[in-house]
Amino acid sequence: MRIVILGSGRVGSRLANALVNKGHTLVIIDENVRKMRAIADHADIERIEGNIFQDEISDRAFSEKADMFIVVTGQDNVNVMVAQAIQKKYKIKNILIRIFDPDLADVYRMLGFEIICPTNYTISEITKILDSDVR
Amino acid sequence: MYIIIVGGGKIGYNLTKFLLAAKHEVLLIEKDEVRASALVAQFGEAVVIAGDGSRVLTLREGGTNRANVLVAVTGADEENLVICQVAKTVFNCPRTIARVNDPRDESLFSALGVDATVSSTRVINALIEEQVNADNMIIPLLTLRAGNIDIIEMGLSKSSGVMGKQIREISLPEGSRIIAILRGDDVVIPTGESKLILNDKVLVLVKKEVEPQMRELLQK
Repeated sequence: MRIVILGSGRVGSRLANALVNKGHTLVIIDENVRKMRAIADHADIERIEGNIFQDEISDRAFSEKADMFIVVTGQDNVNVMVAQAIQKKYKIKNILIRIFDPDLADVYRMLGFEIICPTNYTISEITKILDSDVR
Repeated sequence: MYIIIVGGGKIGYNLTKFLLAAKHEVLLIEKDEVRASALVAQFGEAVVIAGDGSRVLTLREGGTNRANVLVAVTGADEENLVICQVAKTVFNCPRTIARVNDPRDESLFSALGVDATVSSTRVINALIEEQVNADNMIIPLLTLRAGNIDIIEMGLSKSSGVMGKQIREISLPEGSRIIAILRGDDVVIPTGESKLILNDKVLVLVKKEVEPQMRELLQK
């Protein structure tokens, strides 16, 4: 699959490495190229430095049809806006958005998006551990 | 009406003042605690709450479910978009208005269900452009249809080829009309027979793209 990732922080960078090892082709975008240091040198990872709201940058990232777009910048609101802008412009079907705020995550799930909410995930993991401790 | 304003900067502050004076029920939501307490001192605790308006909790506290209008005027477009979408999706707010800081976001916002957008950048740009034209001795009186057509006052130069001619003898650029002749204190609504004479000014209706040709014709 051709996968585009926005945000090369802790999650974005490691995700790129993991996915390229599974045989996918990756494009990763970040405004700050220094944050891409953790990404492995690999022929199947293309790095784009710049602001995705600029046509030049987004056109480069989506010059070939992407099978999936994963939005993992550190800001919920930015993630939500980018996802919708890119969906409109390039008709990408599979979009995965990270949203930290569980309430906001519910709202955009309601609007039909695939959401990863690390807050909910952490809470459920902790609850599981507590449950097993109690037993 | 009950109106919620998110973002207590210059725009939010003045809008609140204006709407309170017009006897509306207003709630102003401001994220920054320091700024919010200054606003409380001015408008009172009933009007201002501190909180992040892009969070469902804050909007619930603010009673968004009974708001007639929500106006998002923070300095960040992504915040304004999320605020309006949450207001619509969760609280069925009948009308949402967003400030758009980057004019390129305008079409996206309307496509995503924001009812109206206001772009100060666009308004200011338009004003600056008009100012620039005024420096070239042309004063656009009115900009129509999103800036594509202008009504402009132009003086005639003595050497202009149109001097002493009837309107019908002048070949105007396509997309332009002379709609009035300003002669001293008189305004002449011209017919084909009307003549242009020394010291006349004209009001022209002109498409942006032929404005330079019009200037060339009347002022060279």
